[in-house]
Amino acid sequence: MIHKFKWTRYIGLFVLGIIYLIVIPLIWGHSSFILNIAITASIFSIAALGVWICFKVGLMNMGQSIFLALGGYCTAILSVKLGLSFWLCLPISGILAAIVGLFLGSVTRWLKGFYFSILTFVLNMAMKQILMISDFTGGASGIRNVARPNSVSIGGLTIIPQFNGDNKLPYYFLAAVLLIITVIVIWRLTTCPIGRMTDALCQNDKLAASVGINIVKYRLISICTSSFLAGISGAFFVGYTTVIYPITYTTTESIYLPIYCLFGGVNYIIGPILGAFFFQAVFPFLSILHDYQAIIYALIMIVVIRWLPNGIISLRFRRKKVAE
Amino acid sequence: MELIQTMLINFIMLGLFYSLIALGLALIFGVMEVLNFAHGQMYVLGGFVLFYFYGKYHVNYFVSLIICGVLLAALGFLFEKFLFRQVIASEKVTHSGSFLLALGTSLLLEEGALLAFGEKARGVPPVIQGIAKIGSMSVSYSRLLVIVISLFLILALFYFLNFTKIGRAMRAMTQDKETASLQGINVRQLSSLGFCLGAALAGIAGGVMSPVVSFSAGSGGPITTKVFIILLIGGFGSLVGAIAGGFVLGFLEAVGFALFPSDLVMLIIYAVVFLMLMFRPRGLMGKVFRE
Repeated sequence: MIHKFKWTRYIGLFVLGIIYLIVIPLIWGHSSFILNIAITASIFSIAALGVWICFKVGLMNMGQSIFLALGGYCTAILSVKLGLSFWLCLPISGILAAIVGLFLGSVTRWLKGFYFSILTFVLNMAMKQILMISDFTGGASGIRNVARPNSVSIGGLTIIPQFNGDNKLPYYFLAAVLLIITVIVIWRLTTCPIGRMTDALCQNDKLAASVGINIVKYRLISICTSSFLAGISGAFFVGYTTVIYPITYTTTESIYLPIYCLFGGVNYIIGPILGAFFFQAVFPFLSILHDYQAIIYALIMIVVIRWLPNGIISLRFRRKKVAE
Repeated sequence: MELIQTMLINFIMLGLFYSLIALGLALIFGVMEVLNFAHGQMYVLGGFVLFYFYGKYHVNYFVSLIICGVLLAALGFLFEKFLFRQVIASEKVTHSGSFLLALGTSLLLEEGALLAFGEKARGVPPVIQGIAKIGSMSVSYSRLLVIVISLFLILALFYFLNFTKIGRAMRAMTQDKETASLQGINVRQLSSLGFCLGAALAGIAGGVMSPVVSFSAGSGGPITTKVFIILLIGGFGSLVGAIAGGFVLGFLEAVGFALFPSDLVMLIIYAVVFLMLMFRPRGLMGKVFRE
């Protein structure tokens, strides 16, 4: 399991990073269509990475929309009612989502994994209903005119410019920075001792428990991280679109995130990112198929689970195995 | 007085109907440890089959119900044979693969139904017109029919599970698969049969309910959620628990919708589920699924 750190292993990732950070903004910097896809895909990748972290401890999070909505509404309410800056709302939303995640996780802490999945699935429905009737969150029409991220300057030097609706480039870089930080943090988490223990949990939880690994602790850590990431991405979406409606946060949306993970490959950290970018990038181009979008999702899901249980990334390794 | 009568009739009807549909899911979960997310969609498909056979082509109602069951059982058989069996065999520890597969089939059926039948809400005319008088109560015959058919099917299922050899083998399988196969029970065939039976029950439930409640392609999702709520209340892995949960949900809905606004009722139900998970996670009579 322990690899020697070799640069050659990571050249591909390095190239992808350069394309992502430099080539895309240089070439498509003025095309808001392409940038919009890239921004949405990046943020969905962050939420999908949260789901992936739950997969790592053998849980399936089927209510990521709960935490996306929590983050989004937290930011919207704080910035509209209290006038807080977006840069403060972002971490607060993440922490709030993490606390709620901790609570949900602790309710099912001694139970088998599928209880967590069903609880999140059922609560997702409940949450939509609460948001629809609550006056505090604006009911079905939601909250509009949320402030965009404002400029930040220290000592007269503007570090971050004022965001506006016409130029999507600042949003792109913000999303990219958030995604890269997330990937680095999760990478560290999965390669440090915690990651080794969650690997053990994923492979055989009873054996892991018998050698003294505290299952509950690592599950709660994963659920917390997962909901934190969802809270952050929900907050970003509100800052990006400036509106929030309850109808966006349905169970179907929650189900798409595990599909991203599975499509890309559950065993690899790049998996959920690949999945998110693929789905976000392919469907806008196939706008003729808009009516069939959900059925195509379903078919892809079934085909991938049935014939490619490790995602499209396993296509690369399969050839090697045959050669051996 | 009239309010109480309405509540009572609704309670009996909803309780039996929810028990019927939850039994199908509990059966599938028992024999295969798969949470059939497509259960609500199978219910809707059953409704559509009845709509075409009984509503459009005027086949006899009971014959149409049997057709519902047979067609849905065939669908369940195909799903089990070509999808679930292989995925479950390839899984080692977690159930996430079969979960996502079940979610995929539910999406597929829902969107398929939407494309094939449109988004219009459908209903069929009542089988028997008129109102029955029981003492001082008056009940419409179509509701009475739901009660009678559901009761008959539940009793038949329990007879099958308790007094026939195959049914007892199936129950043995729900308790312990490996030991059951050591006793010479054909686990593969019985999984297949269990899935078929569960799907057929869902389809028949759709057929039974469609003269009373109209349905559309999108009404499967809420039904799936309700069935999960029933199993969370009643307890996973227990067929009696499914019936108990069905009656609890039926009670909450029958009383709640008569007294409170409908949004509030759903919130109360969700709160009950949440408290149940916190203080009695095994449900009313489920077996304990602890780590």
